[in-house]
Amino acid sequence: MVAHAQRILTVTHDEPDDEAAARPRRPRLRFGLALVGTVVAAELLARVLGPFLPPPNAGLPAELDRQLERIEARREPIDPFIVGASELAVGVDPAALADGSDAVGAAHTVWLAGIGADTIGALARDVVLEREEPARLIVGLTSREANGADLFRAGRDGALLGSPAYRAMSGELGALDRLERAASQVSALVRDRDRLRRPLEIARHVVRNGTAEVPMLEIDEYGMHTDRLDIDRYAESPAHLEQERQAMAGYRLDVDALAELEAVLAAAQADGVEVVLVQLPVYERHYLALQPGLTERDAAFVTATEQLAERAGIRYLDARGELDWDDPTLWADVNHLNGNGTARLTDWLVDRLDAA
Amino acid sequence: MTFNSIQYFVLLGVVVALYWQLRHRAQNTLLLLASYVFYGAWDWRFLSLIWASTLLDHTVGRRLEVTDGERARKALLWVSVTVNLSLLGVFKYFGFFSDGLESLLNGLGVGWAAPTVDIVLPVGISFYTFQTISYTFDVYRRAIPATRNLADFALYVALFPQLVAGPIERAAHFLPQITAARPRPTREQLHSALGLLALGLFKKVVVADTLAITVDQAFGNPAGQSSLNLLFGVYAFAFQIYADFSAYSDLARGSARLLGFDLLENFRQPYLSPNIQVFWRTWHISLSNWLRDYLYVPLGGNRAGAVRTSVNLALVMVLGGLWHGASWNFVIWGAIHGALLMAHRAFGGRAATPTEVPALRDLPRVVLTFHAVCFAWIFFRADTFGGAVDYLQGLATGGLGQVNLVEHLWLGVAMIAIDVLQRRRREVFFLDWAPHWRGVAFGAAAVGVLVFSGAPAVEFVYFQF
Repeated sequence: MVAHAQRILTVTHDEPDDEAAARPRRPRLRFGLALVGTVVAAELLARVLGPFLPPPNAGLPAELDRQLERIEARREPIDPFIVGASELAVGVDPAALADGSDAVGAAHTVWLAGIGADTIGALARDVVLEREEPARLIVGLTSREANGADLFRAGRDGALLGSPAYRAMSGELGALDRLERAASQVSALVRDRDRLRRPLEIARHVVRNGTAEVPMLEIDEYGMHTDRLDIDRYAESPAHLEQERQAMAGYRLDVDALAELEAVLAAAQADGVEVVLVQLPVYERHYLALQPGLTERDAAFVTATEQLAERAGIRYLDARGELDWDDPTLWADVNHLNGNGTARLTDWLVDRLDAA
Repeated sequence: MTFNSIQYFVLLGVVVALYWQLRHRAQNTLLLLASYVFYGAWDWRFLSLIWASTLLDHTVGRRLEVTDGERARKALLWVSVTVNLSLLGVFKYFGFFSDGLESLLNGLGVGWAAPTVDIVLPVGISFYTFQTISYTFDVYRRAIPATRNLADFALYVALFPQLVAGPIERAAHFLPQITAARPRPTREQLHSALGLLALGLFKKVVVADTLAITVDQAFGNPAGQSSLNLLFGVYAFAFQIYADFSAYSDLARGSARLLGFDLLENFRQPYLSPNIQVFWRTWHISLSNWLRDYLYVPLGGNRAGAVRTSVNLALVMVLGGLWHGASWNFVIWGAIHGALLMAHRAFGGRAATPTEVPALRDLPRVVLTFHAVCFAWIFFRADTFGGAVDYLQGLATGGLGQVNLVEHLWLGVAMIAIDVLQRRRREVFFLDWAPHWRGVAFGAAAVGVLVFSGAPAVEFVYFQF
């Protein structure tokens, strides 16, 4: 009887203890600590990974910052500005142009790798015309800048024009942008998030290189892209060729991008800025073979840019049509001139500008 | 003001903070005002459409309740259905049908040019129109009483968490929650609400918006992609649309739960389905059930023989496709699903609502069903019929060359993992975990949202419907 009673007492006494033991102690504290700990651990991991991260996906904002630094470092009033994609930045030497031409003062190139015609228009408007107010603007294009089917380019351009860096540059920084900028000062998770959101790329990069020390393209104090100047003759790399093939895939003339560029250039011309549109050369025998059916589409681009210049009332210079560029000693790759080619194009541009 | 914007969370926070200080009637008034502010942030002009629809169906409902004659009741029902579908027709399908008529007449030799009218599609019109129609139908069937209070009914139509992309609520489920005082959420309900918000944000910001990059690249230029890239592009879209839409539903249900409401479940791990019938029981459940109750059953359902059942299935799926958008691609998408459902029935397939993770022996059927659904997604995602054909052509002939669209597909694997965990446990599976693991889950979601939210914002896919 007593034993039975003791058993009942033991059971009734033990039950709440078992429940209490099963329940985690201080659940809120443990939850909170784990939550904060996870965020802190991720932040530390981001900092450790920093040196190993691949180049940023949205690298154009960083490029833009660098271009702006170069412009601000030039003490003299810059005129003209030369705006375009990499074919232009490699192909025209601003310093040689300024030295050789009576019509040219202190020339400077503003360019970003691989951007489209509409983004070139945005650069001309937001970086050059509104900030610097030059008397002359030289814009250079190839058909690569107007492939409406190049969605990689569209993504890159969207990342640039939608970035806080671009909004900061054009004076449209909002409260959220300022908050994000402040957060990026203290947190690697925010600062490097463009790169952190590509885990497979990080893994690949770490395995292959062990470091993310991918140098940014070399540009000189005049904004010129100098990496390819020392290449003696056409020497296309498979990686660059694949990149260019991809950029020209399914070529569809981007009339909207050209219309956006036209609007910017026409407005500049109407405001008294002398605008010159240059049809840049490409190494046609290789360039037109990048994709089947490209010859006709490329010709349609040339016609469209001629018409654009005519409609906007701006001067059009056809470097591609007026000179023969079918010479491997002028080229570094399929669409970028080497040092020889750059000298040739720059001399020609000096002549044409002085002839006006 | 999308659910993944800071503005939305500010609105939700302010509403929730005020809401629980008020009595029931004042709570409803606050919610109604907040809902109209939320909708007006898109385009205040279209508030008039919601008000018109609300006023019409409230009046029809009241009249239906006091009218006994069957002919008069039917006439009232038709007034509601006709006006609601006309609104939908004008704003959503005008261009589609006028272009179709132009092609038909021109084909018959009658020269006629469709008028060019630039009509903007009001956000959420397909959802709230179906919701009001279901109310009128249910009152007509005397399945529910008509609601007397116009403000209550207006809130049924416009409650902001579910206004623009559902779930398409049913009056029998939702109106009682509006008319009666709502108890404060329990701790468990609060946790599940926050869990749903975290899960929804993770799915939208991390999964859907990242996969959208791959999808845009694949579908934007199929001519320039290899077969493997295009295959990955379809997989990416399958997971993008699932993550996007189920994220919206999670955010809607989580938000509503903070306000004491329980919205219908809209997804139940559809890609774990071993056949197409199960898929449709677990995908966009509120629409599937609507189509079943207000279209398939009135057409005769499966009660009039095998042939009629097949015809009904096909018709319902084609109309379901057309509900998504005014384009032949959506019609074809619906027709493919109709054909798959017919084939499933023809081969004697049966479907039980799934409760467990498919066994290994079911895996081939799950994979086959997933690929059949993916095939139909090509027509859903492509901009035009020609675009879908180009995509299929590219899939068949694009070769195995470059493979550069595989980068984000791990997110599809993450979605499957979430589905498996949900099927094994429950919707907000991490609430069953020990507190520290729950903290890790919330922390991981926060880190994911922080890192992935810097990409350009993408609207919820279903907003366009």
